[in-house]
Amino acid sequence: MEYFLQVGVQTLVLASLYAILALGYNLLYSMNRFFDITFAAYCVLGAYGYFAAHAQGASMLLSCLSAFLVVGLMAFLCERYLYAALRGRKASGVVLMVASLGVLTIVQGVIAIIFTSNIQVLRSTTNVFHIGDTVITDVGIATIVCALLLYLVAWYILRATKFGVQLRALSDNEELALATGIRVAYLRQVATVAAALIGALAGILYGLSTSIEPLMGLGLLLKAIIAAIIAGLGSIVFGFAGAILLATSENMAVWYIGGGWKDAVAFLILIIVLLIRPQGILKK
Amino acid sequence: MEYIIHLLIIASIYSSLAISLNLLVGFTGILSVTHAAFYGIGAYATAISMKTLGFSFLASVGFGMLITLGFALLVGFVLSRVRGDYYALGSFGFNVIVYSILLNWDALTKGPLGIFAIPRPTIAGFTFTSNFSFLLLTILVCLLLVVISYYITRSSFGRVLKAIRDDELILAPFGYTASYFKLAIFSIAALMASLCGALYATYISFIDPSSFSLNESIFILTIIILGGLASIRGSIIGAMVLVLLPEALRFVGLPNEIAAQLRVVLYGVALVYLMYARPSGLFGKYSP
Repeated sequence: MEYFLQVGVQTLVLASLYAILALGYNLLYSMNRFFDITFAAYCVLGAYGYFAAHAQGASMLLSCLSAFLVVGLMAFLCERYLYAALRGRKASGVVLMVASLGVLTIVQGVIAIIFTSNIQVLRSTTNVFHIGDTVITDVGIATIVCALLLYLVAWYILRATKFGVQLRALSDNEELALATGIRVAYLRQVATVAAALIGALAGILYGLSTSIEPLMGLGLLLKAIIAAIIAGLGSIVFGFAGAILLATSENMAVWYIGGGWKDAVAFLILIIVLLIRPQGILKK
Repeated sequence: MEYIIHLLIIASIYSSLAISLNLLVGFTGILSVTHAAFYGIGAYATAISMKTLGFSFLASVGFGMLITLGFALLVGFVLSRVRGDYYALGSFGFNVIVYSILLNWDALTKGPLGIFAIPRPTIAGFTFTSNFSFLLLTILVCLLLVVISYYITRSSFGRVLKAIRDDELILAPFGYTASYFKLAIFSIAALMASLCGALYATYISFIDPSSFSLNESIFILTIIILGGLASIRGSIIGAMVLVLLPEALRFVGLPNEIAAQLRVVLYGVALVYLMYARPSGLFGKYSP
């Protein structure tokens, strides 16, 4: 029973991390409509931005802010100067995807040149809290709180603000959105930067709970995509459910067949979902 | 000299891989990112049947191809029900699953330790011990694949593949079932990759799962995107450039670690620039 509770707590923390990733990815996908691999670069850059600022002696909050600044700037530049230009040339989804793969490759390489490709830690100590029989780290609590807050805010913005309505209109039908006078390019930039910041936050939280390396992005991206697709790609609020499903099955795989099979199980679920319900389990 | 021969062997193995992947991505328009999985299955099946079962080289290659064919039919069938961008994602998944199997099925694959001391191939009593003879073997295989690809793309079968690429739906009224053709070309490409795996395993004489990860699939895809989609010549030139160019960086005098990463950055810049300026690649005849 103790074990069971402990596994439950860990699953909740993992699910929250995946939920944050899925939220960022869903936002990005519903605006841009292609499999944007740059999201992985935002995660890595966030973690390393934090790492660099922290190494200079900045506080946790300041390190986070400087990481956000760097990632936000990069997302703006990518969207404004690269993807907008490609879209202007009527590039297909595959072309955009390959270009974003190129961007990830560049970011990974540059980070490895500056910080070496070794595994590094964002911090050496971990504060642990005991709740009843279970144990949870401070990062774990922060992850859960961040995930809940972000989903609440996202839900509020999408449902109750003019900005959110415009975002949903754009994600439904771009041409109609243009025709009704929505500033599509501007909206895209804002949404891309917001998604990138969410990705950066996930990268930092992941880095704080384990360690960072330049190649960590692709793994996080794939988890984001899987969680988003399980629930239904582009349906922003459902992402949390997909994340819980993914985290639960991964932890069950670790429990019953061994840690090495975690990623294989995640992709097996993805393939099954793609076969049975390509539109996602929850999406109508 | 040995060093140059080594590089040429690696470059011709990658040329062969690129040619086979181009049949899928370039000629049929199927964005498959799982080529390293079949490459790995071929390498492992050959190595295991040569070392553990004591088969001859040719029998091992045949055995490897048989296993690859089984996997390819299964994966091709499963993926044939998924479309567009999702196809790429599903094929990602298959690569990760195969990588996990290679890494975790210790009893068969020796896990992360890999398989050591794989013997060089022997065909009709002649053992390819020297690197030069092995280079001839890899070039021969590469030429064989060039000829096969040439005939495939110019046959009526190849014309159906191009039709699938350009407009899949138009085929149905003409009585073609696109999914059979896709499954066939998927299996052919997988078999070719399996053969490349057998060459790689017996040349390096050591294999471990890290050579067959998702990143390897992405690298092979980068080769054909750079060299050019739907172009056999482009596949070979792309492989030559991406294998040989990084070696040139070594002689500039940068430390190894930085040179390796600089090469990664250059790939990335090349990809982004090509997608902007010429999405079909240097010698490509088809733009995705």
